[in-house]
Amino acid sequence: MDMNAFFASVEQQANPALRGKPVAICGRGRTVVATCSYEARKQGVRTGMSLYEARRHCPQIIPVRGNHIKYVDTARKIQSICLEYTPLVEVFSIDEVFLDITAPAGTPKDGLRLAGELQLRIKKELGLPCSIGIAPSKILAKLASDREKPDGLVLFAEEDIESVLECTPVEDMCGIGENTKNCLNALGIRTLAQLGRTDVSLLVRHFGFLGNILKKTGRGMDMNPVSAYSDAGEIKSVGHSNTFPRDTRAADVVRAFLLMLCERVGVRLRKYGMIGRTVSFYIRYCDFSGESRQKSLPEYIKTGPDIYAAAARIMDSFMPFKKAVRLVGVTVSGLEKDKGQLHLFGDRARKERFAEAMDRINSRHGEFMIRPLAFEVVEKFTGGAIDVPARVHGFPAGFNASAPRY
Amino acid sequence: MGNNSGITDINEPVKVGAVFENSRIRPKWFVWKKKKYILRKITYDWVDSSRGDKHLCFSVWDGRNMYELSYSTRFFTWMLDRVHLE
Repeated sequence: MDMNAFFASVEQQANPALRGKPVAICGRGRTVVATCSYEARKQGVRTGMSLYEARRHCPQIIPVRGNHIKYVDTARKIQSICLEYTPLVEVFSIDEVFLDITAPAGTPKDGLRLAGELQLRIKKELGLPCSIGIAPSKILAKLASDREKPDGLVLFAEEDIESVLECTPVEDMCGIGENTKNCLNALGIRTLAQLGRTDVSLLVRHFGFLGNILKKTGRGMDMNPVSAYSDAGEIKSVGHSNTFPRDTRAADVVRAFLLMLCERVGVRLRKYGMIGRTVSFYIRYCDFSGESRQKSLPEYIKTGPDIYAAAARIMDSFMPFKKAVRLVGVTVSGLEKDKGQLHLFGDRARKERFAEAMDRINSRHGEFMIRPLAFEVVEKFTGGAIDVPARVHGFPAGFNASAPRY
Repeated sequence: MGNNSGITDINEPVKVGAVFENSRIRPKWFVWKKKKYILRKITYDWVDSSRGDKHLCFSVWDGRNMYELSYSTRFFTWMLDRVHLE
């Protein structure tokens, strides 16, 4: 099941004035189209276009700032509905899930009826369109769901599969990208059926072990069953990244953004009750090239300043920047449950108590109500166009002046 | 109803009148800058757990403009997060 133009559809549902209109979902600062509504797509707007370019195709385009939290929560609601039909619900991405409906449906005809019911419920309860593909394997179901958008309902029954594979170009299959397609085309392989008929040794010679998978893909076979929702793994890492509103070489700006990201990672670690000991830092330059490095620490950490200390040391190893920087990101992995007994006393305990007090205040009055002074650099650089909310009314004057300095 | 090109972040505490319907909390009016806004429709709702505790968020319409309200389930406080002006 694939939600159609998911983020744009959610915004159109939340704000009825946007319904039936060309809408582009953008981030703050950068004016790049992250995704857009079908009305905008009809006029040639595409993901990745600058807003300027999108406006040339569609002067009436309405830019909307995306709200990822809203989309994640909506995805959870969709998954809850799916779980009413089967426990075998595998989340493929924020807007795609696989359901194994073999047990509740039994026959392809029943599957079609059940999928239609699911589609109607999502439309009725959440107001969102989706396309559903029904097939004997996950890769074929994905292919079927891509056939009709929006509101598609496509069944590939066993007897149809051969003809589907015969007329489907290889690049339509999920997982076959531009490079693989070009290599396959150079070998004279253009359709999935041709790929399925190709000698596996030829594919292995050109693609290594992936050749075996490609051969199966060409025959519509997917050996991985749909996993149960309850099998979804626990959190392995917590990370945040930020694309700057404009490229920069200024180290103080990059450091200030990094501190903000580290604070966010710390807040999430504490929320999940986790501690971690591996910090990864990554950087993307203006030409989209990038570098990353990670460091394992002697002890577990969970506060923004501790994460920042490790990430900044890694960042220093990339200095001076060889090119202007477009994006930085930080991730903490090597996670364990925080049993809360690591640092009962001393400086570390003080830092942790301070971080928890900050969490309590910020959760009550908005993210970064109390924040490091370095965030002023972020706000100045972005002209305020960053998710650092304005001061909350009702606090005593000068409250923010006592914000911690790191 | 306004479109999102007129979004303004507010992030201010507000007084809200709400009712419980079918095990759910539904805002009916709010007072902001001494003016009372009667809500005609809740167009969307979602849960935000990113701020450290659970906030119930609502997109609401007063017949002229869209607003985003949030309720902290931990502190029982309401905030006006955003206004989408016509």
